[in-house]
Amino acid sequence: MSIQARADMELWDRPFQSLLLGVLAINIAAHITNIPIWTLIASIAALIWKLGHLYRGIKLPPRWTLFLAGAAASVGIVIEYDTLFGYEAATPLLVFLASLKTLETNKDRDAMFIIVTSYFLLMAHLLHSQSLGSTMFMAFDVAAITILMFQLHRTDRRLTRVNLRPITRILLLTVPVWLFLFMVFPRFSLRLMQSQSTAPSVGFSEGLNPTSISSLIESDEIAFRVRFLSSAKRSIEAMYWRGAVLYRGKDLRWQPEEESLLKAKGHALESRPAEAPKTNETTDYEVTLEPSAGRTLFTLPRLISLEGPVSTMSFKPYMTEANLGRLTTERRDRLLYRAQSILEEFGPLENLSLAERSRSLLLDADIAPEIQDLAHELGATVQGAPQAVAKIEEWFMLKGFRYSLKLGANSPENMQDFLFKKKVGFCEHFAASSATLLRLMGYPARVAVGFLGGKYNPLSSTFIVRSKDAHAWVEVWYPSRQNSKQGRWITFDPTALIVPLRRQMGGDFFDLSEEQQMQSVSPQDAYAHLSRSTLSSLFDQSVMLWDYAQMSWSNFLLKYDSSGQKEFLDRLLGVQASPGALISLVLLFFVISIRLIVIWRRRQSHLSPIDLQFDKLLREFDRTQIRTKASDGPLTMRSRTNDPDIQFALDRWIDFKYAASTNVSERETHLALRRGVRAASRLPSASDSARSLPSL
Amino acid sequence: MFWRKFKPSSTATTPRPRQRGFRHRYGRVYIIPTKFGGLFIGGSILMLLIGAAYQNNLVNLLGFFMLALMFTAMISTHNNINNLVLKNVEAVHGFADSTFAVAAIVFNHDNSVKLNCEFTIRSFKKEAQYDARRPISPQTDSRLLASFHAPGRGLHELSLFVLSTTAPFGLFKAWQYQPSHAYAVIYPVRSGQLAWRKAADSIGDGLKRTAGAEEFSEHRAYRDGDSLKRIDWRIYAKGRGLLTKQYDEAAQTTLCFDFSSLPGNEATTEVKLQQLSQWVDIASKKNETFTLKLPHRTLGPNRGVSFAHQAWSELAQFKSEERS
Repeated sequence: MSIQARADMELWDRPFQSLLLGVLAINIAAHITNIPIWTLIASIAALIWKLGHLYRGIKLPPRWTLFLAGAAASVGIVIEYDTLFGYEAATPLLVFLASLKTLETNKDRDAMFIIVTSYFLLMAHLLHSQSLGSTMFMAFDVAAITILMFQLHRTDRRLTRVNLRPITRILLLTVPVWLFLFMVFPRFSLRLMQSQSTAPSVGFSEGLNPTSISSLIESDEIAFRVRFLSSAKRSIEAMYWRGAVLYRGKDLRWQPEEESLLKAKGHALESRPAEAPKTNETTDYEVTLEPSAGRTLFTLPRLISLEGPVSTMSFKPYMTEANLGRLTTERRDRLLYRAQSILEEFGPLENLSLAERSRSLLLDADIAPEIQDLAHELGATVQGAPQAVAKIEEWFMLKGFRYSLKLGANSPENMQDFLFKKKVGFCEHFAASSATLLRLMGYPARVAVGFLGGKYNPLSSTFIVRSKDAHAWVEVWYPSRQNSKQGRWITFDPTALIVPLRRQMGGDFFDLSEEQQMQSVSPQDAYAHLSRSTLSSLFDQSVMLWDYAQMSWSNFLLKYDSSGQKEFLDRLLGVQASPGALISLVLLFFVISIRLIVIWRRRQSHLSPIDLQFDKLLREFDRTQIRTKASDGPLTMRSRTNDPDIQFALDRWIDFKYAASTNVSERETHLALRRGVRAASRLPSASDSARSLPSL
Repeated sequence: MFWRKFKPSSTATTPRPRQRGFRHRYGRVYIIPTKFGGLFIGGSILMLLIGAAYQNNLVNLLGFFMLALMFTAMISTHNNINNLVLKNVEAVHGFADSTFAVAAIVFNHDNSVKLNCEFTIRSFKKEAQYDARRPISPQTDSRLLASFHAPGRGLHELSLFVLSTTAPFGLFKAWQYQPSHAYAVIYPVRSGQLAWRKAADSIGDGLKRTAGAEEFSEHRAYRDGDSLKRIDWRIYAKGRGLLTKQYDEAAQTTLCFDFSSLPGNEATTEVKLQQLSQWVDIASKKNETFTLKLPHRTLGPNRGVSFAHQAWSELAQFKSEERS
């Protein structure tokens, strides 16, 4: 073994390898929820094996077994994901291969490979999550990986303050450059890929069955956040966030109409009403939608305008005939869009198309005769949809219907069971039954699903809508008194009649126990039950603060795309900057930075500018053999050259440095030396001219 | 002294490196990305492409961090080699077809510590670098030690030193050229067909032994390397310490390594030099007194390591025309 090889081995000390494994383990841990469990177990096993080798001397596996394991893992991932491409499949493969690599790591280049892989593992994590937590993790992780890279090139690898000082300085220098590049380097969109995440955090589905809403209510996941842009902020009671409308009902199960049968109204900007509504009748709001599968954009009823998503211009939003917000392409990342809705009682009247009318009156052939009789009984004395709605509400009240999420064995088996026997249920039961009764009475109705209300965060002035705010209600067609062909779809929430608190408190209602729900008459009573200790209040405030930071950061990331960057820079620079101009600006920044650093370093140097020039001159003299030994003085060197510029430079130097009194200024000397350096650099090297060597 | 700075004596056996098309600017720092740096740049560009493809600003942020780190790494690497000056070269001798060590004394003019600096010499194949990871303190001399392959017998000019570094991350390699006036004296290979003992007993094979009566001259204090046979044990037994017996020089047994007496002709000059080199080595190890006779120069009689190096230097610089 050569001395160099031995030196390399000595550098591969255990603490450094442990640090390497630690950083890799942190990056693997970030993927715990994103990779198959077998990959995770195999990766952890590989790391433990390596630790065993380092601290217990356990023998490492032969290299061919590592190749075999890598190939087997690739096959396993192909079986799991049907592909090796895309970051979902690539992430577990990368995790496993990086772990395997540790089992044959014994050289600097192996460590370098793991370091680069760690950056890519971090990138894969960021593709899965763009939260503030992930950003903080990124900041910590890049620092850890960079320190590791720095330590790799040191002999003394102890993590002491003195040893970490240079890398701290470098990282501090990197931060402004990093931020400058992020803010200024022109953005572009390849529009090639989109997330294929299989686990959306919000499980909203465009359908209704007796368990769909109740299962969502158990989750505290954030569905979206809303910030009202206009002053006409709505109360929680008026915030029905529509996600889907359901036409095809079969008992308690309802489904949306086939998409092909519904026509799009067109893109948002084209769908503005001809006559602009008054500002006090409209509500402008900005929605930050958490990652979720689907194309649904949640909006308030009577949507009149939809813009964005801001960050994803390639995914065009549009409005459906049922006045719903949709995306042209399914997207599973966080979204930001703006919408404008008009209050239900205002704005222009709409026409009810024949197709829409028939859809909204469609009845299942298997409706129980008992339900049909009830509808005839209720409808006999009413005239018009509003009276029908009031009649149904009255009937629910008279018959003592109750609201409960904990039905257990008392859960209604079907609509008949709900209406005539159990008389207890939750929003889905009430909505489905009401819509069926209205249709049986001959009034167009549909079930709407989405969310109700939200929790207000005063720090960010946003409403946080969570899964537990999921709700189902009914939309009834109210024809105009003047023209029966025109009218409006009006929200009818039968649940709100049974439990007004559900509507008044939003998702907070579910924090109450059954007894508290029964006892509370007003929201004040209910919130008195929910009064918390000082510690809990502090915790709540911290949660709100975190949410505020989270939302601000998410919105910044989403908004700072190519258009956001252009808007920001145009405002900052005062001119419209093209991508070419921005690239030039970046290059200029680097050139100026380098120049400033050079100037700064010269000032830091112990040598004056004249000394520096003379030092350059000496280097040229060394090359040209004008100086043959270190003790050669300026006069000796002067005697060895005939170049007038060099002689002049040396004369100036001698005058400036050694003369008792001189008129030569510092600037003159500096300029003379510069000319001397230029002249000396033109001279041929000593090696180019033949010369004989003195004897030993 | 084992280490010597050699001054040029005669025409070098190997020519100075020719500088075609590119003239080295001494003291100017040159910098390029290393293989790993190229990989790092590629990785960061790939990240920016992925960020654009997935429209993910956090991935963009990470990609820009890597690019920013490249920039600061470039400045750090540049600073790490800047203001280093080659002050002296301690060297430099060795035997042909083996390695010879070179110690470069480097002065750090800067006020910051320099990390992981090493050096190479143009036209010489580097074998190993020692102490490359030892930091060079500001405003001090530091010795960098490396070994190189010795190409062949002769006086080789070490004209162009290349100081380089890849610190702090290994992303960039920065280097600067430093001139030097040092020479490496590469001795002939120590090998020969004539065995030492056999040759010592036979006169006329180039190695002559001049026998004479050994006459005691005086005592002197024992020194490392003195033969145990020469220690006066009687005096030692009397408790007067270790004293070595000295004999009259003329009376001692003296070896004479005579180039002209060795068999062979002009074509076998190198073989003869290698034989003499081997005998010098053996004599040095045995601490025997010897004389080296070359056609126009005679060294000795003398003995010891220093004299052996002097003899090897003569053999290294021997030229065929000296015979005539």
